[in-house]
Amino acid sequence: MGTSCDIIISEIDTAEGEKVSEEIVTEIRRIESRLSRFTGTSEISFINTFASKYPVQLDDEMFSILEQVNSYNKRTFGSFDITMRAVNEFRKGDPGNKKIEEISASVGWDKVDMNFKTRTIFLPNKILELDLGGFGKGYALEQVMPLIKKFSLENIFISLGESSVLALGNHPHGTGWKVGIRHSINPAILVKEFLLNNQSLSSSGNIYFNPQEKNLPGNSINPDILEPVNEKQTVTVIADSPLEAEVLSTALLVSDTEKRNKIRRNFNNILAYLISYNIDQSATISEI
Amino acid sequence: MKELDHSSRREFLKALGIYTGTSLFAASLPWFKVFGSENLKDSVTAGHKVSIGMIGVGSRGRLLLLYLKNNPGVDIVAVCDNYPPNLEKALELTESKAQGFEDYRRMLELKNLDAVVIATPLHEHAHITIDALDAGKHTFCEKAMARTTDDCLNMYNKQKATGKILQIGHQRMFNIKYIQGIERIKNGEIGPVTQIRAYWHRNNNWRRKVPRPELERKINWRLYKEYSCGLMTELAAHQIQVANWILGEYPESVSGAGSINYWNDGREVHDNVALVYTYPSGTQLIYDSLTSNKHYGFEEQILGSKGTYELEIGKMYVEDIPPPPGILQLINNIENSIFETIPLGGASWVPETAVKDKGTYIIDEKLKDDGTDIQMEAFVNSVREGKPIPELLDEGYNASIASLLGYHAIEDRAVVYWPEHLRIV
Repeated sequence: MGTSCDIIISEIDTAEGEKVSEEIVTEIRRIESRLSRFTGTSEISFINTFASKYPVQLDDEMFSILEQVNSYNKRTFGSFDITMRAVNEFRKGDPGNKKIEEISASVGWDKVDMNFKTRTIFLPNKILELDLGGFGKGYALEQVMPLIKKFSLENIFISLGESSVLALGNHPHGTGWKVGIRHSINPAILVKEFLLNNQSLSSSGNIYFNPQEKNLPGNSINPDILEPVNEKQTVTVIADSPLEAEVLSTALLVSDTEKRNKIRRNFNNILAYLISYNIDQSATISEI
Repeated sequence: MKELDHSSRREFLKALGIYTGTSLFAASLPWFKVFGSENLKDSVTAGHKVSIGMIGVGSRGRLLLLYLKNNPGVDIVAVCDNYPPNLEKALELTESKAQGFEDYRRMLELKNLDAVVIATPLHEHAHITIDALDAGKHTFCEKAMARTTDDCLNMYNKQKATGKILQIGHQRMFNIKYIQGIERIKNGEIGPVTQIRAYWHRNNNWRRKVPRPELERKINWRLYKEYSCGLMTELAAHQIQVANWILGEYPESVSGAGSINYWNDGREVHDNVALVYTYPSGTQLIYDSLTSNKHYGFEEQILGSKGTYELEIGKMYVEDIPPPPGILQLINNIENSIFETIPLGGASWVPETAVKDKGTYIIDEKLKDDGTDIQMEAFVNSVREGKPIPELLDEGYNASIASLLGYHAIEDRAVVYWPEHLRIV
């Protein structure tokens, strides 16, 4: 997932704190080693390499992950789609000798051949690849929750790169955890504040802060039209489930207004905000 | 050979400004006392020029000549080499203003000579240095000091006896990147230094073209034990000096191994060496050098409990990457009993970008000078003042002795301890 992991546990002694954080980090690393397409030995890399040659057998965890991917794809009407990598690379100027027509005809979760009986996956063409980038952090935080229970921790704040946060219990000096979303252009301003109470927050955006990348098109692809989202905007979702927050922030970011509303109706007990940046660099916040 | 850019003085003065008036002069850089900014200015404007003779003007000697020629406070009055092609090239560089010598002893007879710069093969350093000091000439001698430990000690004692300046060429001591990095290390930025690793890897045969077979040993002197200790005296001495400087001590023992496992071409010195130096504080310097692979290049890695320095590349790495600003604020709030909103995301947030410590540069700009230019200027300054630069000779001596003890550890396949008679106070 290539991001920093910060864990804040209040009222715990150092030795116990180290033990807990070590277990949490170990679990997150384990997940990363399975899901990251940047790791050559991960299951995802294995699938991307071999599933276009033959149906690859999935173990329990990978089957469960891809089942959830499938379910979120359906519940978001195709907006959550982990097969957009080839389009993304093409839009960034790395076409790999392929034409966009060929790519368009090859990608899409609906092209993936998941056999739920035999628990295998087959990718019918070589362009089709899985990328769990918009899923991994939420899944990791979700998997960490049983560990938190195991150690009977009530008040804990975990951040993965500040874009995915799990906030349980209370801040030592207040109720819940107060967080705010920075203005993406003027970081001194908070565009929206939230009180997290046993909830997760996830933000997705298409605004590059890395100066080397600022001229690139957004890396979020709208699967309906296979085009990047060009508006400068971020979506923040608050949900009980970190995975749901993560998936929805990605899916809502790439959808148009009509589809956002449609998706939104499929999910209860969540808060979702769209933050759009205007030409004058002001931010417009709207609840989805 | 093209003219050298002398703007390193500007770079150096800029950096020097940081230290002026701080205790650093006394603490970690005693040799910098000679660089009171007034002195440095003097060397440029002074009416009296320092007259210098160059002894040994092969490639290194000619480079030093060019640096000195660029210094308006210097007159190069003589050049000496017993290999005619080198002598001719050097005389050309002085536009034939300098007098040429094949025998350094004739050159030392010159009355108008303040100082000499020696860049001959290693085995000739000692007797030429001793003759020069005896002749009343201040002396700059390239590293390593000498081919044997006894020669090093004789040179050291001769300096003490004559009171003349003897400076050994360790340019890293005048390299701003090293000066700043080592100051920060000494200030505890990476915690206690617990290990130093240094290496110098090349992939070439280390040979120079020989016009006639009978000149092989003269030109490729580095490859023969009679004249050189190979990688130990030619490369390792520099990096051992850096380790000594950082630790503020010199090794008490060394063990090592070496062999010729690639360039089996008649050379006598090893083409690869690996050693462990142990310092009185218990810190080890792990050193290796080879000439059959250049992938890792050369580096000095300074390992502390809180971070790492790589001085050649000029970078510092922390052990624990600081948390992002929002998380840092949350921690500070908790510690100060404050319950308020912490910022997430925003301009400091780079989505999906790996958080790896890529290191921070010690200095922002790429330096033109590796310290050699300023080192020569320091020598000229101290000649003008007639006073040796404090502790500079000790640094050169200890680095040379350590490199030679390493050579003996390899040759004798034994743990070699720093002998009592080679200790200087």
